[in-house]
Amino acid sequence: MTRLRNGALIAGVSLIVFLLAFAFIGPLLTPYGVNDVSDVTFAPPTSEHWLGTDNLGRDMFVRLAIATRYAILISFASTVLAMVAGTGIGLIAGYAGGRLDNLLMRSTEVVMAIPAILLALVVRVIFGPGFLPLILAMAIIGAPGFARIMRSPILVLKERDFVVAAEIAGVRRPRIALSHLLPNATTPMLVNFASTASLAVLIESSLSYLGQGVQPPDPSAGRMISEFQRFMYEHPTLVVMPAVVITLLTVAWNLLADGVQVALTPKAGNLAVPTRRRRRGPRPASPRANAVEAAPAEPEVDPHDTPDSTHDAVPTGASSAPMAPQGRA
Amino acid sequence: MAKYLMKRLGSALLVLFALSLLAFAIVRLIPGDPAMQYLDIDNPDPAQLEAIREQLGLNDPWYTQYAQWLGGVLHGDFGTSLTSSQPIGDKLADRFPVSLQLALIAVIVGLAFGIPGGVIAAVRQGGALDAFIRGTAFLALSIPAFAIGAVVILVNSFTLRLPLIGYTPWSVSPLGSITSLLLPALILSLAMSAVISRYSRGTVIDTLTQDFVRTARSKGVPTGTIVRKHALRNALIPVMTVVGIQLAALIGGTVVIENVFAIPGMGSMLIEGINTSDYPTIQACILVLGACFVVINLVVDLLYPVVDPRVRAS
Amino acid sequence: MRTPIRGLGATAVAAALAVTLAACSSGSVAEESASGSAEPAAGGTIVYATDVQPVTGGIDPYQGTAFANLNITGLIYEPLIAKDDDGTLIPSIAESWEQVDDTTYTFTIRDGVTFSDGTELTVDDVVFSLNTMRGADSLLATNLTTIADVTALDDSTVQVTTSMPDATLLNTLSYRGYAIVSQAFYESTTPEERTTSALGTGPWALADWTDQVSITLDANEYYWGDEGPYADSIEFDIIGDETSRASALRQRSGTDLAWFRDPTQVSSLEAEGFTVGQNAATRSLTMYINASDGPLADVKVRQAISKAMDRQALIDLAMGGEAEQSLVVPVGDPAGIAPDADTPNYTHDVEGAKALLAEAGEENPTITLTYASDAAFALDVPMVEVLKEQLAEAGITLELKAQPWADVLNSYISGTWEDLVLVPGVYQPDPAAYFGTVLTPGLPMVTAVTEDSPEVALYMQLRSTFDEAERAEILAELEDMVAENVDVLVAYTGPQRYEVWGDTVTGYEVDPYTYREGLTSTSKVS
Repeated sequence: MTRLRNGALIAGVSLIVFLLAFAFIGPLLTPYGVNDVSDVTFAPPTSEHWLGTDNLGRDMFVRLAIATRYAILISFASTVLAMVAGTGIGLIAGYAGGRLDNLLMRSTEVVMAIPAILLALVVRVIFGPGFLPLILAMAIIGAPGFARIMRSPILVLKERDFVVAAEIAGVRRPRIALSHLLPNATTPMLVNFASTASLAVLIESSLSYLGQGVQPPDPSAGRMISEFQRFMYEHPTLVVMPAVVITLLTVAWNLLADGVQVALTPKAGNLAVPTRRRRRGPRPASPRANAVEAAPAEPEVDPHDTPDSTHDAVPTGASSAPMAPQGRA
Repeated sequence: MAKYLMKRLGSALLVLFALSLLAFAIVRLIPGDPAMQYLDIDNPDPAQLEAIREQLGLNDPWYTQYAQWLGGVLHGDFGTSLTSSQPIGDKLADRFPVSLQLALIAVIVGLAFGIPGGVIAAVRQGGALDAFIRGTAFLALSIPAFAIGAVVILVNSFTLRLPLIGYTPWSVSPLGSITSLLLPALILSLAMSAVISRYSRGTVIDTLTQDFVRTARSKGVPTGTIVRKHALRNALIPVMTVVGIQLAALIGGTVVIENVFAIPGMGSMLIEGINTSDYPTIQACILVLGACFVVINLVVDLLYPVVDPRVRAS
Repeated sequence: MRTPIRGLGATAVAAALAVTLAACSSGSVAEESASGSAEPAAGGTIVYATDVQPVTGGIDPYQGTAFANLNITGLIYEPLIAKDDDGTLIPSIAESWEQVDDTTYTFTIRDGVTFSDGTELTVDDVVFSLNTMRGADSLLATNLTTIADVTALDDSTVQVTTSMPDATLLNTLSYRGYAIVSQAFYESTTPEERTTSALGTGPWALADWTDQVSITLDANEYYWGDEGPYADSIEFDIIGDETSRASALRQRSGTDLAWFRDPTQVSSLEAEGFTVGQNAATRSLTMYINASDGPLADVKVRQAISKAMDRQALIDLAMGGEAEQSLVVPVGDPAGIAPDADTPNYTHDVEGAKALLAEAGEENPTITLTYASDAAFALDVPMVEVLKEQLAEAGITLELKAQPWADVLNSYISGTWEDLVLVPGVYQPDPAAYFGTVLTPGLPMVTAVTEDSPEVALYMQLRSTFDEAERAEILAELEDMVAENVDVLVAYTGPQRYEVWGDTVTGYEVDPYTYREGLTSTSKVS
């Protein structure tokens, strides 16, 4: 079981490395520019054009590579932004408690109350199409997930003896947060990072498919699919190739999410079978496991946070945590 | 208990209020002159502009406009579309049932695949079937719905050539209507099936390891009976929560899938609105879709104590 | 040498081409129907898949004047006079007309013209219609500013006088949008009611309109024409997606005809045996120039851009060859003139472009092109992408700026765009009308000419010259002058829509300007 799960990590990392190489080194291997048009339209794969050419005679290998690059950069940048903002919000909310907590958590609820793609479309409508609105939209979508992940362990830990002791001993609050709380949230954070990035890829490609994301002449796998559906009878591969690229990207991020969770929570073991292991072995004392696990057998009793906290809590695999409340693109 | 209900209700109203502000802000925040949006696409005529500006009452302060707009919305008046002579409210009345129908079929399909999938995976834990189901669920969560849709349409165009695209209205033929939505609903429900199967697998396994199940097992009760009588029932409580959330998430999914299969629902209405810069329509769609999400979440929250006594007790 | 492509010539070529194609494709469905093996049947419903329904203004001909509105109102309402396929004026509601002098016209109204509710059309309806369409509230008024007076001389004669000689008037009145309405109907309904209801004299009358789903028209039993509609009704199914519309046609599940924007779809369907109508190329990809500041203020830079454009390559790559090179008046317009080797700045010449840039002291200018990012304009995007690459060869950097159509329109109407803005043009009733937004100093979008520019004077002359031959000469000279000074850039011109049908209908004849008049003579095949 464990070997299989490490397989997820290995597969995820290798896939990401492969995609990074494709995206950043690939274009250097061919003489074609990403927007170079030529008379050679709809060429099949040849030794000159490895993946053929599109309707304007542009090299598909280079265009797919650059599209992959944009997708990686957009998902990475927006997720980092979401993490920074979300972590900050979660720390402040969890620590401050009271009204500020209430306000911040209500705000994250408002964001989560709007389906992700709707929110992205709202941002697109207001700011127009382009890279920055895309990144901003996905950062807004991702931030509440991080905020909640950061906040839940704080609520638990705040009451824990060693934190109370530290406070009594006069250790300043920010230091407690940094030295004790942040490390405890590392695993869910990393897992959430990968699955938020995966969601970002999904949303970017969906928006581009709908014509609302990356704008021409910049290539985007999502836009290629909608653009080339016109030609699908004669040139089906033009539709299939970008679909494969998007799939590889989301699969890579999701594998990474699953793999990271296993690698960093050895006690939790097989994620989908959390309780079996726990019942066999001694109950893990580490607060980390507590933060991650609140098994379905004991659903969150605090109704205040349902249903979202159920997701943060149930470790049924990485993708479900941030994706369940937001849904797919 | 009452306090819990009030709290959930209050927070839902708060979210609805924020949502209405956001939807209202769309028209205010777009750059340029809102009146300009009312000019037509094939044959612009500047002479129209002044009349439109007056008609829209763009000179009032924003809060007056918000109050007027919200008042209209509460009476079912969503204003005038820029591209269609039909009032937006009437259009919503046409489009909303289609999306609802799609979402409901998707939920049924999602449950039909998700729960048995999860239970089978749990019972066959560690086996090939388990691995297959979990692998499928993983892929279903990873591949975007529009890509699956595009590839299915592509493959169909070379093989079966079934009429996959388009929608038969319920009034024309209820059966034809359901048939025309089956494939989009299946693709739409993939993510939901995946999440449900993961949850039900986890909860069933969890239940199977509990003491009373062990006792039953030791008394020689067959596994099938245990799963049916005990594990399934216990497992369904958290799964129900997931279904609620997934139903809400489906609303987001319809936006994309309706466009892939040319289904005249709310999602295609929204994208039509965006493509023609029809801001009042965008506003109405965002508000209604978002409100559905909030209401479904609220219903789930309110049902939670009904099915889970522990919440009721608190 | 320059040959004006008269509509007649174009239609003849098109017809010949259609015959050749039909002869080449063996066993095609189109051939069967053309050879008459299938029997036309009276009655039934013709189903036509269309991409848009009427937009703002609905089916009130005076409120809704867009292409999408005209598609429906053109079947319900009729203009005073009309045009045939080669652009010659023909009778419609007026059975004859006469130009008494430079500013006076009389129209004799046809006997027995009846609205679809059975009431007879009177001379008062015509006077009311003409006065309403030139009134302040009407969107049609901009083309009728020269009309001074409209009076009924007797029960069947209407006299129109203009304040100055206006050669565009008859062309304008023959345009489908300038519909004759019933005074009683118009005065008894509100503008809102008229957006979804109609009463005209045309061959069809509105039966039902389900928003974004379908519009059904029934045959007008009172129609005056000798060849009344053969079918009982037409149902326009609204299917926005091109691929879906093609599927509807392919599935043969009731869809008889459809139209398309995308030439790729059309050539696939043609290869599968469907008949493709020859619609005139009237949709020009026009790039307006902001010459008030920036590099384009220099005529040499503008000329360099025009020379750096390889228009044929644009057509071949971006449109798969399915478009034509064009001057300001679209080549598919009966008055349109095709550019040739002598047209200034139209021949692809990268070295010439570089030389001009060097002379202007702008060897590597950066030009911004604003275009619409909306899905409705998706087919224009490849042109923009190829253009960027073409200009790069001459050292010109073309910055592409995608904006929602509403914003594009905004900057166009207010004249605030940077360098270039792409605003596709539509068919206009009179050739002079195409120059209105290029050569009328004072309009915000007109920056390349002033009151003193020779092309402005020539344009005014075009508007007031009645003699056809003289008009054609002036137009040719004007087109040359505009191309020389590059007051506007036209990439290419293609049809507004392509009409396609299968073997389930017969008798459909395309009219080049997509009024779909041919639906009257179309019948289902039994």
